[in-house]
Amino acid sequence: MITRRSLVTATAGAGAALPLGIGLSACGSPRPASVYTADARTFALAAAVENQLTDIYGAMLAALRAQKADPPAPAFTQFLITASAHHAEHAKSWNSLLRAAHKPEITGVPLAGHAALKDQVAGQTTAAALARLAGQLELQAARTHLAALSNLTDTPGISAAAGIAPIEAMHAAVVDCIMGGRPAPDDFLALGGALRVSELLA
Amino acid sequence: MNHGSARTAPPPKTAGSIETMMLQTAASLANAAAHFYAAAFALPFVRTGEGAVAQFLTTAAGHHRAHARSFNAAAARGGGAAQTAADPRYAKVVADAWPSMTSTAAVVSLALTLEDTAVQTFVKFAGLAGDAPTRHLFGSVAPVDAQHRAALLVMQALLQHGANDLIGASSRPVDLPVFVGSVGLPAAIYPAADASAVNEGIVR
Repeated sequence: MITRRSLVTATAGAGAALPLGIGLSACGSPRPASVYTADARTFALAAAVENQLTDIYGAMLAALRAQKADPPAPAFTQFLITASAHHAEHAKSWNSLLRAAHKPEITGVPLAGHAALKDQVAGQTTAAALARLAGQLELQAARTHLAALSNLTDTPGISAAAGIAPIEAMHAAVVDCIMGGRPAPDDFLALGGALRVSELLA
Repeated sequence: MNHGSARTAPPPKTAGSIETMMLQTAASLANAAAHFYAAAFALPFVRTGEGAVAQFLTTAAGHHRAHARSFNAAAARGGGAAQTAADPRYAKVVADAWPSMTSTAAVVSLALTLEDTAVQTFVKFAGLAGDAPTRHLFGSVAPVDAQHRAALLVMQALLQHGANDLIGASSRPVDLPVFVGSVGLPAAIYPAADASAVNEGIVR
C-alpha cells in the first residue's frame, strides 16, 4: 500500500546520482518565506525542472556543435533539439498553473544543484557521457512529476503531471535506444531520484 | 490551491466504485498486451529475426504481467474481483489482426496500438482516481508503457528504413540515423482522447 507518508519518505531519500540540493540553510542566513506554498510549490518545482532541462540541453548542444564532445552523434543531437522543445512546452503548462494560482511564473532555474550540474556538463568530453547524463535527468524529471501526481490536490495539476511524466520517460527511452541500452528496464517508475520541493530556491 | 478545482476527500474504494472499475479495465489492457506479446514471441519469424525485438517482447510482456498483478491487487483491496481476461475490445483487435501477423513490422505496429491505448488510458485514469495510491499506481505504470511505445516507434522507423541491423544493437551511437532522435517522441504532452472507457474491461 502506498501512502502519502511513504511517498514523502521515498522522495526525501532521493537523488544519489546527480548533484542536487545543498540544503536550505547552506547560505548561512534564513531564506525569506516563499510565495510558493502547497500545490503552487510543486508547480514551481516542476517548472524549474523543465527550465533546467532546456538550459542543460542548450549547453550540451553548444558543446556538440563546438566539437568539445566527440564523436558526433547526430541522433543524440536531434534528441536534444526535440526534447528541448517538449520541455519548453512543459514549462508553459506548469507556469499556466502558477498563473491560475495567482503566483509568479518560474522563468529561470532556481534549483539548488543547478550550478554543479552545469559544471558536470562542462566537464564531459564525449557525446556518450552527455547522453548518459541526459537519460538520468529525464528519469529524474519523470520521477519528480510522479511525486507531484501523487501529492497534488489540484485537478488541472494532476492532469498535467499525468500527461507530462510519460513524455519524460519516453525521452529517457530514446536516449537508451541511442546508447544501445534497454529502453524500459523496470516494471514501474520509482520515486527514488525525484527532486524535492526543498531544493527549490524560490 | 484554491482556483476552484481542489479535490475533497474521496469516497472509499468499493467493489462497484469507479476506482475498482478503472483498475479492472487497466488489468484487462495489461492482459491484452501480455497475451499478444506471448503469442507473438512464438511466431517463427520473431524467434529467429531481430534479437532485440524478441527480447523486447519478452521484457515488455513481463512488465504487463506485473502491471496486471498490481492492478488486480489494488482492486482486491477495494473488494473487486481480479480481471484475468484481456480487454474485450482489444482482444478482438488482436484476433482480427492475427492473420496479418506475418512480419516483424506487423507485430510492432499492433504492439504500438496496444501500448498507446494503455498509456492514454492510464493517463486518463490517473486524473480520475480519487485516492492517492490508485493515482500513483496509474502514474507509475503509464511511463513504463510510454517507454515501450518510444522503443517500438524507433524499431518501426528502423524497419521502414531497412536498418534492421541497427535495432537495439547500437554500441556506436554515431552510426544511428538522425531520425532515431525524434521519431519516438511524437508529442510534448501525452494525449488521453483515445483512452478506454472506465468500464470497458470490468469483470462481468
